[in-house]
Formats: sequence, structure tokens, C-alpha cells
Amino acid sequence: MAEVILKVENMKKYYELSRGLLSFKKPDVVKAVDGISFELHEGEIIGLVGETGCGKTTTGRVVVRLEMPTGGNVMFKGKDITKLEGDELREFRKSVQMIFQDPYESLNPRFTIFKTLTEPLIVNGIGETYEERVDLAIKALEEAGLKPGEEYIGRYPHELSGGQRQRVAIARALIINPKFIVADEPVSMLDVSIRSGVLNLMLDLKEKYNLPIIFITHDIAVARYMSDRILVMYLGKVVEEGPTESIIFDPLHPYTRALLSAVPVPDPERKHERIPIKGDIPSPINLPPGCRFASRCVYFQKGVCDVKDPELREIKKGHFVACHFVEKILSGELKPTGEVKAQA
Amino acid sequence: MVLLSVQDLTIHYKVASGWVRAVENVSIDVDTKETLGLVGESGSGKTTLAYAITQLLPKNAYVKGGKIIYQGKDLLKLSMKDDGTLDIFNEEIRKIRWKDISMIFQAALNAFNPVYKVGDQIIEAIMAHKDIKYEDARKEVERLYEFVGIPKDRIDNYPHEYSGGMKQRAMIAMALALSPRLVLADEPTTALDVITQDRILLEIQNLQKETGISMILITHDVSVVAEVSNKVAVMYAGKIVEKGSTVEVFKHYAHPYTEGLMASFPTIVGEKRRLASIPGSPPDLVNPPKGCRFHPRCPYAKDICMEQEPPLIEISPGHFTACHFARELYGGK
Repeated sequence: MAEVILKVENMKKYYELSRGLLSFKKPDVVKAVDGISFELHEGEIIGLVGETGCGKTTTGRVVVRLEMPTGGNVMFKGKDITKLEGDELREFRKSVQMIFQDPYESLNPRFTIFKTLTEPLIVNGIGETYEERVDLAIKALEEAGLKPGEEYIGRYPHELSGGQRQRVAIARALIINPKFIVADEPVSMLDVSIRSGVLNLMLDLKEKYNLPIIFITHDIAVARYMSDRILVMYLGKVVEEGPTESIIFDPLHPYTRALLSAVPVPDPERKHERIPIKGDIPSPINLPPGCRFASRCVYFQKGVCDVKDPELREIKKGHFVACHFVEKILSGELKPTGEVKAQA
Repeated sequence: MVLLSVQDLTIHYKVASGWVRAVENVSIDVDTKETLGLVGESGSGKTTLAYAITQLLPKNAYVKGGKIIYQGKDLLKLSMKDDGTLDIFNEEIRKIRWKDISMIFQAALNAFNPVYKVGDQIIEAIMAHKDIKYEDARKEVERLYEFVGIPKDRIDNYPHEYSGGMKQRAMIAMALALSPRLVLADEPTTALDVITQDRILLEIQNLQKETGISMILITHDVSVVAEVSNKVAVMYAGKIVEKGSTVEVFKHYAHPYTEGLMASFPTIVGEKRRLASIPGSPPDLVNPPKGCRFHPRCPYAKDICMEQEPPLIEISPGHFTACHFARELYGGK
């Protein structure tokens, strides 16, 4: 087994909503992430998948310590990152980098590409001389597919296309040799013909440097392309986790099954079979007890699903599901109930 | 039967650095009860084309040629001023717009006025076009809400009380309010989550079955086109590079850009294969490349591509492609 780089245990992140100065009621709480655990191994890409508000971005921000968790542990190489201070914290910051969604916002428009790339070097004390930093910057650009690097180094972000900007963002992340990367929807702002180039670049870099990546996306097809393992999140919890192909071809949780059946496929002759799901995502404020998916689940069982929160259980090798009735659903013993809308 | 026919349409935008050749010599036909998918990247001209049909182009847009024939009438003749700009307040166009041709906008999340109730905004649209009492218009909205699947008690809510999917549904209700013959949907599901997107697409398909309206669906997502449209037109840099029935174009594409587009899309079915990417980026339309506009990015480009613009040829019945090497590419890959 490859070395564990990051270990997240029962991590929670709650946000309190402010209620105004003179309110004496207890504030409402949004449980953005409510007890999730996973391990990130050397040379592995984990896909964090889910709809808006499922907590995938919050998870990404906590594991790089842009936010402090409300509870649980985040261990990086055996040390709890929430307890790091001073030099140790600085060392951690050097080991992790983030790639953001919008390359139009994440690069400083008044910095040249050179300044964008050398800032992290200076902050982290890498590269003794100016010449050395120039070399590193050029190397990073070429690594990110912007060749020749000299040609790009003096430019400003507005002189580059979206795809090129995202490549600069990747170069900036790579330049300090991080131990792992969190990429939050790195291609969702890019045009289709540009997107696959950036995805391939990230895959190649992972191969070359054995670099672990947490890849956050709402696009399951992209997650499948990129990841070795997929974690499906719903309202702050992981509902299903497993090897990518096992999740894609053999989804077990009613939510994952509905989600996958809703993904459009570029085949006009396919007969689209949909797995039903009720209503919309409920408000994440003050969620009721029990399974979070209960209100939308067509297999909902009163007395169980609205009482007990299901734990993740290993149903197949390496494939975990958080559902009380997954076996009965799969065997067909439990039939879907409630309104199922007509199909086109 | 052809409901709308765009013929040889050319639209340029006037900007400081010259003319942006946003749409050039574009021809499309939409039959009754048909959905045409218009696919392309940002800047390919697909939205300009849609806004030209509804005649809502910005002030710096100039029509340089072509016709937009709707039910035998050339809409451009009605509204075009001498310099090529369109009179968006033209009375006849205003009668057609929304009543005959309506639109589902891309940013449904912001398309409603935040200080008016959603229901009232739809009622207003109905009353502006029809001689109808408030109560009757409200009943009409109730019927529309039921149709698109929003609870009736939401009529008196404000836009911020709606979720993204609900706003998009309300937008669809508004587009349908006057029973139009043609709806233009500009990226109707792009900002939505997968499950909501799937439901809206299903809604659109059901709607079409029930009402028999025609539709132009504008999107960058080839999967969405495969899902709902029976005809497709692929646009690149202001031109149509390939068009035909969806099944034919998806199975036997004969243009290198379509090929690249198909090969760069990840999917959840079949074997996992490495995605192809199209090198470079779309051209600056102030100075588009000579010859074929795709040649700087094309893996098959030869000398002729840099010199001559490829005509749109019929490679098989109803399937058109603008590539010098379409015959070689067709079928054999």
C-alpha cells in the first residue's frame, strides 16, 4: 500500500449564522461538513463529487488549512494540521497547494506571470538568486505546457486565454514542489476544447511526480476521467466511496444511482433510464436527525431512516456505502415508493 | 414544414479595434415540432445568432447580409435600419417577439426583477400582449406553474425565495406564457446541478411532445444536445462547420472540429480512454485566419486550407460539412 499523505478523521466544519445583535435565540447552524473521513495516498487522485452545497469545497479548504475545522482531525504525515504553529505551519503551507476554479480571478491582474510564479518562491525561501528563480519559473511554465517559458514570463494575465491562465495557476502550484494538491473545479470555467488539455496535463504531472491530488468537481464524467477513487458527498456527509469504475458502473447508494442516471451522455441513440429521486436538496440549516437523504429517498423507511444516521459500511471490496437498506434495495426486496414522475 | 429559416446571415460587431465577425454566412432551418441543437464554444457566435432571431442584439451589432424568414416574412426587412442596425422597438417585431418567438435566457438566476413577485412578472408579460383580465392571466400562470412543476403557492414569492432550478422553471413558464411557436433556449441548464438539469431537460422534452413547439437549444455541451435535439448545427468562429440530424452527425461526423469536440468529452459510459484536446485556442474574430477558420488548430490542415475557405457541402442526405477533406473524414476514422 502506498504511503498515506493525508488522513482525515471525522472532520466537521459548522458555520453559525448570525442572528442580529439583540437576538437571544441560539444561532442557526449550517453543518457544511459533518464528520467525514478519508485517506489520501501517495500518487493517487481522489475525486470529491457532489452537488452545490454538499460540502466538497469546504472539505478542500479545511484540508489545506484555509479554514479551521469545528471538530475531528486532519493528519498530514502523522501531524495534526490544526495544531501546527510557527515554523511547522510554514513548512505545511509549503507542502500543499491549491488550484482554484476561476483562472480569471485567481491570478493577480497587476502581476506579471514572472511575479506570480516567483512570489511563492520568495515567501518560502526557495531559490537563492534571481537567476535561479527565473530558471525555476521557466521550468514550471514549460512543465505546465506553456512552451517556451521565456515567451510567457513577461506577460500579464489579461494577455492569456483561460486555458493558459489555468496552466499558469498549475505552474504556480507546482513550483514549490508540494506534497499534495487540492484542485477545486479547475476546468469548469474552461471551454470544452481547452478543458481536456488541462485535465491531461494534471494526469501527466501526477504520473511524473507521483503527486496526490484531491480533485473537487460537480461533473461526474470529469471525476471518472481523473480519479482513482471517488467520494460522493451529500449535505456534508460521504454517502458512498469506492474505486472509480466500481462507483460508475455499480453505484449502490440510492443518491449515487439517481445522480449517475441523471448525467447526460453524448449518444443520441441511448435510451435514458432514470432512477427516481424526490424533490430538491433541502436547506442545510438545522437538518433533522437520521439519514440526510431521507427526504428525497424513494426507499425511505419510517422509524429507521428518520432516526438513525447510517454509517459507511464496506459492501464490496473497498466500496463503502452509508445506507441502512442497501442490501435490500439491491436484492429488490425493497421497492421504491412515492410519486415517480413520467419519463420522456 | 419549415417554421424559421435563417439564410446567409452575417452579423458584425463594431469595436474599437475594428469589426468582430461574429456570425458569417450562417444558414439554418427549423421545422415545426423540431429541436435544433446549436453547439459551440464561447465566442463561436451561437448566442449572437439567437439574439439576431429575437432581434435583441446590442447597439454595436450590424447586420451585413442575409435573411431571417419566419412564416414567410423576413424579420430583418421589418426592423433593419439603413446602416444595418436593428430597431429593437419596432412594433411588428414586438408583436412577434415573445408571442411567436420567445427565449429562455442563460442567466435565469438574474433574469427576474428582484423587487417584483415572480408570478406578477409573468402576468405582466401576458397582459402586455393579450387583452386579458388580471384574474384570467393569473389563472394562466397557475396552469403554467403546474405544467413546469412549481407549486402554485409560489406564485407570490420573490425571486430570491426560489432555488436555482425553480427560477429556471419559472423562466420556462414565462417563455411559454403566450404559447409561442418557437422557443430559443440559451444554455438553459448550464448553471444547474446534474439532477436539476436532467429534470429540466425532461420537462423540455415533455413540453415539446405536448405542445408541438419548435426549439433552438444553444449549448456548449454535446451530451445535452444528444439528449434532447433531433438536429444539430456545430458552430466554430462564427461559422457553421457541420450540421445534420443529431444521430448522423454524432455517428458520422466529417469535420475535424466536430471530431475534436467529441473526442474531448469525458463520459460515464464505455471504456475509459485518453481524451484528445484541440491545440491552441479559438481565433480573434477581428482578424480571423485566412481560408478555413479552423486551420491553425486542425490536425489535417494542408495548404489549400490556408488559402481557400471550404464550402458547406452535402456529404450525405441532409448532412452538411465545411471541410476540404470531408469526404476522406466521412465514415472512416
